[in-house]
Amino acid sequence: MNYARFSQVRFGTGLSPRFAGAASPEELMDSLQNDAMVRRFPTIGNAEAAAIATAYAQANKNETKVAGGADARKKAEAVLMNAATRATKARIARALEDETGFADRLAQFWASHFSIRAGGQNMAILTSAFHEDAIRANQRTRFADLLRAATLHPAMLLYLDQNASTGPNSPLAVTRRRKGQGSPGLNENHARELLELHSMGVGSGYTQQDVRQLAELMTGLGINAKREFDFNKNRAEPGAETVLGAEYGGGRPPRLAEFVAFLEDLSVRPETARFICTKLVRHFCTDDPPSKLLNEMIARFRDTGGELVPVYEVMVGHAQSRETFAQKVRQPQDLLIASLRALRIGGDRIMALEGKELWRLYVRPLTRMGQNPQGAPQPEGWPESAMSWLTPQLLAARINWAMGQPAKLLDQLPDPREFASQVIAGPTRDRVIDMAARAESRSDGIGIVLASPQFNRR
Amino acid sequence: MNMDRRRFLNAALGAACSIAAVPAVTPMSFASVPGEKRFVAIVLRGAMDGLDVVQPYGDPMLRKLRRTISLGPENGAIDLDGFNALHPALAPLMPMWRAGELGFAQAVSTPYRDKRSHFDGQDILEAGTANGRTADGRQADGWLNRLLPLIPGAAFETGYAVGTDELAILQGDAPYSSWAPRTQMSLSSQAQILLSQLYEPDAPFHSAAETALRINAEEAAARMGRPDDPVSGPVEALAGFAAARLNAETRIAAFSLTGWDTHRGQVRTMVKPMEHLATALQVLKRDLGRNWENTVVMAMTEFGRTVRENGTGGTDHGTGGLMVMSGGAIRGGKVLGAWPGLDESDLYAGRDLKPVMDVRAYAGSAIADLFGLSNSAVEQVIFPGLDLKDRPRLLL
Repeated sequence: MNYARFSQVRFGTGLSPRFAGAASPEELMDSLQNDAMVRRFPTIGNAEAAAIATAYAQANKNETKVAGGADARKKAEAVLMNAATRATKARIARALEDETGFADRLAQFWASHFSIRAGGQNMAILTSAFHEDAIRANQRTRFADLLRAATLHPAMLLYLDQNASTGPNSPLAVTRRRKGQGSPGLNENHARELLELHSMGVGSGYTQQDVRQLAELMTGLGINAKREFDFNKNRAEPGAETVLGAEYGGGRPPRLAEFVAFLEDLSVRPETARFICTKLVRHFCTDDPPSKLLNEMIARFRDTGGELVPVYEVMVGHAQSRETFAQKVRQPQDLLIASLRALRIGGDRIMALEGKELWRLYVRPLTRMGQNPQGAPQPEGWPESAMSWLTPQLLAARINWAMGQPAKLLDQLPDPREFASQVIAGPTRDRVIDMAARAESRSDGIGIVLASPQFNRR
Repeated sequence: MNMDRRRFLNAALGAACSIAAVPAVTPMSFASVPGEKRFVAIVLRGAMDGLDVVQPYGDPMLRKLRRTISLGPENGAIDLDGFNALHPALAPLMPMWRAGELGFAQAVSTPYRDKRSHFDGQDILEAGTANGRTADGRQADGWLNRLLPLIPGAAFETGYAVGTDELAILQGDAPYSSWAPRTQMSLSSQAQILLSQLYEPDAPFHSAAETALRINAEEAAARMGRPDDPVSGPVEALAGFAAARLNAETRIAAFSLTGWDTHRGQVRTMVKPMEHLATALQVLKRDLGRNWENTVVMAMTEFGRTVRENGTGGTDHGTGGLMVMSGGAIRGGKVLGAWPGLDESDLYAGRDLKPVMDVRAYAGSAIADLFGLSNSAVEQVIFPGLDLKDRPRLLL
């Protein structure tokens, strides 16, 4: 197994007769800088998403209030759904057309690390923008930049209730209390997840007091009526806060920069370096990270002040990444993309799909395999352990896709033996070729290859 | 909580991850059957209009608030108790009502108020906590998942999530099983043999595939055994599969029924989901056979709908709703709950039926009696913060 085949499976979106892949770790890292497919298949950015979401919310409000309101609402909903579908298709198309797909895999990883779920139409469109402008645009920078972009994104602020958090002594809360309009207060949700899930990791030494103080420091972060990020001084808790032993905030008036200073410090803490590198190794290499690989990545993270590209560089070139090959089970998203790529389905074909076709080919099967494309059900993101993806029901959904879908996609299926030799990597490839050869039909043969443990592992 | 058992199961799961682990863990390995009592939760997604299902025609306000829907016995609804009438689409359930195997609780709700979002409402209903979160602010597990470790002798198949919908009500740390009936793995026997050979050396794949193929074969055999059964729909499949599991090792099953979000033309749009509900309960009773006597079914929705009919012949998101309970183990034939009234001043926020009881009190009371749990176990573990002091008694 040469480096190209190894890296296409382990770090990329899978083997395809269409692509040679990266012959060396250096080439793989170079491919990360190539944005040709991002330009060819544009998705949706913050400004467009905010405008669409705002228009839809307005139409919803007017539905029963103005003449023609019902039609206008339908139209606004169609605009929103089309844009969200287009973004989903573009993300698939990029992964199918990129020489390596490494950047697409990284985007999936970070989208799960900063997990949000698109419940409701408004969230669906903001989530598309989150994936593009917060995640994809920042995964080659410092972790501090990525952390800041994800933390301050409207979709995240809504998802983790930060938008509902108000300093108990903020001007807004004081006024409300005086007028007898309730007593708005803190919501700790985002503060807790920022420490527990996004940076230091659970049990890494912060206290409930830190969470509380951080929640106070975070008051004021929110969105405005146009669904853009907004720092609302009116909601900010006055006075300084002490988080993880250092003092932040206390400016008059309160400023966003005070919280950003905290994020900078948080992003380079040793606990953060360890947590982020562990998650990278657990996602890309093995559930049980080998210490040499892990420690070298942590060291690189710390030496560079949290630059992400050098950290990836250690991972993709390390002997222990190679030694742990096939220990991970492909997550459903990864599996479907790799299957489509193996079957030579191109990006233009995906972009031309109607919403219903996309649902049949991709959205419904993914959901049945346990990975709802709207996002993980919990802020923890998608689970890494093989067992979470291999319950009887979820495996049955994988087998059904493999046995049934390829014949619906292609008028003529490839020879199963040749197909297996092209799209399977690793020492037991011949076993798959052998079984595929003994299938009683082409479509069974292709199904056996795509449902094999060899194809489902990476 | 029986942590030792949980640790043991998790260890067993962990072992299955290692390729070297043989033999593969199968659900049957732990089959010490935990009692005979059975609980089925049906999540009615979309917010069911309880005032249309059980129509309080005895309150004269109902006719003033609704013009085309919920028209009472004069329009075919079936009188239940001189005050409430059952929607005609649920007529097939009347034998159960008369036998005391069907009951309702009107004006129930979760603690969720005012925002009326399906997603949040369902999260809170399925988490069973006041705001969908745990005391320290995390997203809570499903309350049926927290129930599993409290059942002595519980194993993988004790809890069963049925269908393709995500069932947050069962999700969490305690192991449970899941399967979507009619997954129908259409594999030629040759393909099955070849795949099995590929899976054989890979423990997690091998174990999952063997179980999937076994369930699939059982389902196929069941279909073969009823050749004259007309082609049944997806709801028969859901309820029939749940009943089959409950007749075997399963004691807690959950599935969901959708289609309740009736903003427009409710006269028409409400019929299909109600037929589904009727079918589900009838199939459960039919297929559970003698076990029906030991079964409680509770169908719950995230919230009710507005008491006023809207401008498009439907209803919008509200607050107080209806719980449907059924099963041979319940004391049915009653509409429970003090009637809050429909006068302007009786309504919640001037628009919704005012909740008079937490839906969790009914569920908590039923599972406490069914599985012999103490009030405090329910109040602390399953529904934290709930007070069961004056709980309604629902079981025979």
